[in-house]
Amino acid sequence: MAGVRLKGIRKSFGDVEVVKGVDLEVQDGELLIVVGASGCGKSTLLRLLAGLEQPSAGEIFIGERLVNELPPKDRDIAMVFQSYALYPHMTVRENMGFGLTVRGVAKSEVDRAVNNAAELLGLTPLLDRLPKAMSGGQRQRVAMGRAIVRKPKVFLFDEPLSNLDAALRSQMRVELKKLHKALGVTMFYVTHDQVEAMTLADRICLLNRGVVQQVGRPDELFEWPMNRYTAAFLGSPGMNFAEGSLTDGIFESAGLRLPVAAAHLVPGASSVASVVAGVRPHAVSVGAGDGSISGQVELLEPMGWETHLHLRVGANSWTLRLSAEEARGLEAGQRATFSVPAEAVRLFDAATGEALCRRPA
Amino acid sequence: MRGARFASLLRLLALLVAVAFTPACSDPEHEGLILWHSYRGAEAEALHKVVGDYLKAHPGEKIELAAVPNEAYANKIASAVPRGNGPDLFIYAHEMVGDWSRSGLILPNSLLGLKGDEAIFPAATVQALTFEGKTFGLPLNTKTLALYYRTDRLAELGAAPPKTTDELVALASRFTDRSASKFGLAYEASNFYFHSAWMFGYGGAIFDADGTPRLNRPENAAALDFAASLLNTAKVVPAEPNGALVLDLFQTGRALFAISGPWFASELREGTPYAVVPLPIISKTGKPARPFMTVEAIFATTQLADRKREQAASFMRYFAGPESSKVRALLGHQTVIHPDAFRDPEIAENGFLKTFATAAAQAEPMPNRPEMRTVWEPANTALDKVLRGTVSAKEALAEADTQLTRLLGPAPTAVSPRPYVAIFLCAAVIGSGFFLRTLRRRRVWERAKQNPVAYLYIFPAAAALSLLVFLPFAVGSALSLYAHRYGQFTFVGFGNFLRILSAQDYAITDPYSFYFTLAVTVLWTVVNVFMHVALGLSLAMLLRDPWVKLKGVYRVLLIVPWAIPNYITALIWKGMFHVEFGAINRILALGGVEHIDWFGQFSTAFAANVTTNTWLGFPFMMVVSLGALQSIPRDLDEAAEVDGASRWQRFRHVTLPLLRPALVPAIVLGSVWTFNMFNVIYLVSGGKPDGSTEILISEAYRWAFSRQYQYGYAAAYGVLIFLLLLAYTELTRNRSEES
Repeated sequence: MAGVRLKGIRKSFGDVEVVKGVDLEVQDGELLIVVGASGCGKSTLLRLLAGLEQPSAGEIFIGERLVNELPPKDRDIAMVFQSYALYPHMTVRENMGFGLTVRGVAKSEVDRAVNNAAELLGLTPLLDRLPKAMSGGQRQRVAMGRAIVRKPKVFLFDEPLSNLDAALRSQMRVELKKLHKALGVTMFYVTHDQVEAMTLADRICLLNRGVVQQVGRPDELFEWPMNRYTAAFLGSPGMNFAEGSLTDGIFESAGLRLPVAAAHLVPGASSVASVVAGVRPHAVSVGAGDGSISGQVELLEPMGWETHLHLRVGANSWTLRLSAEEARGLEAGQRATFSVPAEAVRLFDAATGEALCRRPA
Repeated sequence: MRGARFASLLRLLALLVAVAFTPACSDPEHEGLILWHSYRGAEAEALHKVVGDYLKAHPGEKIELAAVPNEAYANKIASAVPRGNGPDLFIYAHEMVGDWSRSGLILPNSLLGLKGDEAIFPAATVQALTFEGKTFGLPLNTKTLALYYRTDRLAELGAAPPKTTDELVALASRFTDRSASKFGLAYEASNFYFHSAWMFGYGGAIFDADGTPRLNRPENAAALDFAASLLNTAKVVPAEPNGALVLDLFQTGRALFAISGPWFASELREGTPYAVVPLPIISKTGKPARPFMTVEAIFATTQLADRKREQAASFMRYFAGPESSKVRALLGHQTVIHPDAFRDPEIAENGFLKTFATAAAQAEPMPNRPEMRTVWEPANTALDKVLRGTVSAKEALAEADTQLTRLLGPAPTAVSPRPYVAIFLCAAVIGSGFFLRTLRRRRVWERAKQNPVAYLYIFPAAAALSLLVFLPFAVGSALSLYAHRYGQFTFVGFGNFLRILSAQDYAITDPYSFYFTLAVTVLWTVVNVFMHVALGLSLAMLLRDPWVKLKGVYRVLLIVPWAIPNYITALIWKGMFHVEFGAINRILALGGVEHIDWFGQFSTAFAANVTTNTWLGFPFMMVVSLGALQSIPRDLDEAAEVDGASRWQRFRHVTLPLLRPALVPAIVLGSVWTFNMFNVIYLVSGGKPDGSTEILISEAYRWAFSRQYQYGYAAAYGVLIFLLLLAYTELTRNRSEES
């Protein structure tokens, strides 16, 4: 087993630079998820790591070994493809054993490894089937089995769950997490689904247009985004934003008056003429308080256990999450006021988008 | 109502077919004469003028002209005249006189009152029209060989046209410079037709007095040795010459002399400085070189009504006569022979006409015996062998005689068709019983009644298929039970098959034996299909790679060999394999490789065929593979790459198995095409050397058309080919269905 280190990785296809200088380290045994919108370069990053593409610049280390010049087969990695890429003319057993067979491993040993992996993934009864005779979930499992059998140093996952339906996806998510625990191996995982990223990852790397936005634990990225892009990307519904001014630690804008916890503010940022404030939808409660939001209720979306309330605040439409109980009595068209605790407010530089709030030391 | 309309439609169709297949034909009530010819261009113009002149002088008479394509001419005469659908008169070369006389299609001159008219024509031309003592028709013009020379090149040498072969060889040697591709004498040395000049000049012969062909004579051997000396000792003649090469060498001034016929003059580029003289005297014998001569003549058919005989004879006399000859010579550019025509100064002073008239007088009429057509192949093979120097002239001629004896051996014995008819009837009854049962089981009738329109839509295709595929197939199969000799079909049952399969006529190692040819065919198919797949697949793999630029251009370029008609490609490759002028030998020469006589031995001739056919065949496999490759997800290859498979392992274990479903049917199809690839064999090696590179289909062609017209024997080959391919597809069907 080994960690992975990317240093100053760049990759261009013709004139288009897709990956623009990525530095990233994956610890030994860690499950790191690269998440980002489509086209952000995350799949390219994975293919660079696998050796299916050559970087235009930078260095890739697997363990202590520089692997830039190594072909995929010598990198000691296994990859699970979005399409699963199972060999359609081979049985499950042959599919899973292929990586060992082509390396000239003895048949008995291949069988043992395949049986163990099949046991682990519950594939034993399916071993003699062809891929076309299996469901999507089963194929997904075979794809993982094929990766496991070889006992590689690093697992690479390219959106492995995105071809599954919602129910199966959450089930497989759990299985994957268990698998990672059981194997304790380094995993490099790429997805566009923030739920997958939040629930599975040891650490998340958020990528935007080929540039790393932030790397950290899921809760860290969620609670303490280092820029406005990260703040907006994570969470559903997303963070609410408003532009305004900060005067002596109090943010003001049309319909908003939000004191900010002094301990959170970066030094020298107590008064800024032009800032963006962000508030997560779940951080508000009905009624006036120190920090207040007021506006006209546009729409209510009752979900049963909670209600999403769309509020016109100045020029912006904010989404607030209220418990079903709190939302009782509120109606579309009426004016309402909500309170926000000072600890829940995040500030960003209006020009650069950089966070002006930090986790207190 | 619908039925009636359908019936009238069918009647109309039948009428159309009848009209399309019936040229102007004789009608007993018809008062005029019907004349068939195959002239085009200037010759047709001259014919029309002569007929017009004649009718002007004979008002009240009628002559109807019908042009019949040359390819079908002889067959049409043979099939139409006995049924009264033919012409009263026709114009054709004399070679078929023997056949036509035997089958009673033409009238001898004695019955037309033309006996007295024969005497004026050169004796050789009348002899050409004589068969078993009777003379048929009047000669119009001749085609024979003469010596063309470049007036400019001969002037450079300061010499006069050669009178003897010694002079010819001496002049030719002075002119020849092989390094500059200059040859003293260009003629189709390996073609028996051209060789005839030496053969008869040396006093040789083909037939004994009793009509038995016999080539092994000392004179014939001397002539062969002379021809070989021109090629191999004096080296004044280019190797592997063909008509196009002779023409090219002569008109570019790279050949001093050429031996050819009157047609050569019209092929020459305008302004080529040339003159033509009769062929020289053979120095050894003191006799002139005597080439074959064909005589074009006007014949009367046996369907000519008695009362029209006089009218017909009058026209024939006029048509062969001096006035007509003048028109045909000057307007139609024909090499006429009527001596009186040469009294006219315009013709007498025409050196070209005079030369060919002189040449005709000393030429040897092409034998009009039916056996002659069988002589060509053995004679050509012997000639080829001697020119290549593989055997002595005597041995080659002895082999040719053996071959002739076999080919002309007694006709196979007739057997009673009764048991065959009985078996056939039984099979037909059982077969149709099974067929009807299947129809009933599948409820075809009920379904047909429910969907009559669907069957109406299928009808045209079904009708075309039965007419174009099933009917010829049935006729061909039936033909394989007959033997054909001189227009007579004899029922021999499975005799042909027995002769072929028991290898009783030829040893298994003889190129004429079925098993030898079968082995060559199988080798040919396996090697070709392997090459097609290997090359096609590799190119497809290359074209699939994403880094290849200009993919579209390559793809189009690589499909070009497929898009060009294959006979053109075959002829181009044949040219490239030419021993003297071929591009391949020239390129090899740069690498210091000695000139290879590609068609001189089996291995290289076979390789030349395979190369040509590979060039023709790989694009199909490439297109099929490319299509199949594109349907294989790229992921699979990458997955295998990550799994640790090498390039070869990925191809072998991932790509190839996934290509199988597309490749297997393509391979089956390709094998069948290659198995029957007539064009390449016929055009590139032509079976050389000694027929050893023939495959079954081209061998069948030889049996049908150049070996005594053994249609039945050839049809049996066809049936055997069909059975072999049927078995092959049955065997491979399971495999392709499984994949």
